[in-house]
Amino acid sequence: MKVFILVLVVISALAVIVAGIWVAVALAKAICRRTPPW
Amino acid sequence: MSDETSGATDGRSSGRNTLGTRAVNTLLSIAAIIVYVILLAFVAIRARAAREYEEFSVAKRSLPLALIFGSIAATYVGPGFSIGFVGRGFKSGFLFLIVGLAYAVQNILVGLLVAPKLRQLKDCYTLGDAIGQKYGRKCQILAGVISVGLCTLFSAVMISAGGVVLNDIFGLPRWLSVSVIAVVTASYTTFGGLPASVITDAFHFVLFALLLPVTLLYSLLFHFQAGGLAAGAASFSHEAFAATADAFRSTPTIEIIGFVAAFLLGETLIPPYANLALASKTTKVSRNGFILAGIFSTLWFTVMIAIGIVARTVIANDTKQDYVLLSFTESIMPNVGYALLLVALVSIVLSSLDSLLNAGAVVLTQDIIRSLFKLPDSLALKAGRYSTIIIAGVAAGAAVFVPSVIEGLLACYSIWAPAILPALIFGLWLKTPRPLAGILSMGVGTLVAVTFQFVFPSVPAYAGIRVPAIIPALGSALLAYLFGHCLGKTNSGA
Repeated sequence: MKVFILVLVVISALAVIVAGIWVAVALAKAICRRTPPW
Repeated sequence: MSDETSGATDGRSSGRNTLGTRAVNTLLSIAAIIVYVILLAFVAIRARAAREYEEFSVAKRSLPLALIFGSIAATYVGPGFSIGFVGRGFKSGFLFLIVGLAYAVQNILVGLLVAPKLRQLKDCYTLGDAIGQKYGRKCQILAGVISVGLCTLFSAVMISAGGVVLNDIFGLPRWLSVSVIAVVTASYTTFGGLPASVITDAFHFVLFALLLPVTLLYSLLFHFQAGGLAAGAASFSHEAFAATADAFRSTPTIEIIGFVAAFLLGETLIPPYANLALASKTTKVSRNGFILAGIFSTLWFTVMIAIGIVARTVIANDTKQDYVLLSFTESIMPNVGYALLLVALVSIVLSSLDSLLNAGAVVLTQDIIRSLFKLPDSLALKAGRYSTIIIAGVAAGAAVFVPSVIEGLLACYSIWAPAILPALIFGLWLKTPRPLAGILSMGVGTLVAVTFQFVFPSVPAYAGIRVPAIIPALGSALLAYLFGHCLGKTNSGA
């Protein structure tokens, strides 16, 4: 149980990092385009 | 909670606060801030200046899922959901993770039920536009006034929090740090409008979504290294259970219900989120953006609260809640890590502030100025820019009076939900909404919330415990809506 809670916390932290990387890729695509989507 | 940010003594641990460490921290922080400002300027310039009103207000309704998600998350992760939640984890363990689940549920419900319906409306730039289409012009103006007031108040809270962070880094006087935050944010929001806000939000999101979980993982890895995984897990669980059990014992149930109500309803579709729902590429993007943001909020709260729990074994017990994150990072991270954390904190503030400024400016232009005067798009664009500057100026002035970050946000939540939500949600779902119902619900909701939040804060009480203003205000607004719906006529003119 104790290790399980810690594992959940670590998984949450990794998931937040993955979300950060996903948005970073989208941001890079948006600012590298010659004309932005808007 | 009332004076968490205002005390002169912050109760920080002094383990590594030698003069040399302080000097290195200051130098590294200044270097990190300079690099951050250069990167921010580059990103804002790449968003380019808005050339049309539709670009300034809703980014021509072209934003993809990742940017919508990033912007929603970057907007709601303000000082309250970062510094505030770490402090809550430190004092109350997982109690606020349970309360925070209400926030995730709210976002998911908005994604499923409201955002796609809002996106489907034609010629709709703001939430007030949606209300105007359903209830008529008077309701749109009233919604506009409430929205502008709340965006300004929210902005004041954000500017105040940013001022505290800058004051901590550079030791600047309060008026100067508040001015720097307001001027930097207003400059790119004024020219770039929503696209600049969204693109810089994504930049800010990347910064703090990488830096804060890394802080947690670093602290877990190195702090628990000595005793091994089992001992580390046991220590973490012990602290978590002790703090959570203590918090449940000492917090009255009615207060927990009040927090859940505030997290469930308070920030629902406030103008920045409504503008993002309207700026989505499709209704599907609008729906999924909110659902993902809801799921993300639970992960984020877990990380913040876990940092607070780990901090219990590192820093002094009497550390004030708003200083737990800074003190903890200063104690365990290398100097460069501390400098990066300060950058993350500045970006957390700016990402919420730019969205609020842009939303407030668009609402002021669309729901108030354009409702009263017929403005072509070119003039509306100018009006939007001037409105951004005006709101930033007023909010910077008001920032000095904000007592505490979380308290200020809770006050905003109490007004927003009763004032707008019943009228908006019934308006989107009922076939023939009645203007009288809209006006009555908005007016009564605002009046009751303001009365119980500011004029007679101790009046609504149950068994001697103060009931949060949002509960009686929301009940009154719903009753007023029902009353107006039964008595009112349908809106043939809208």
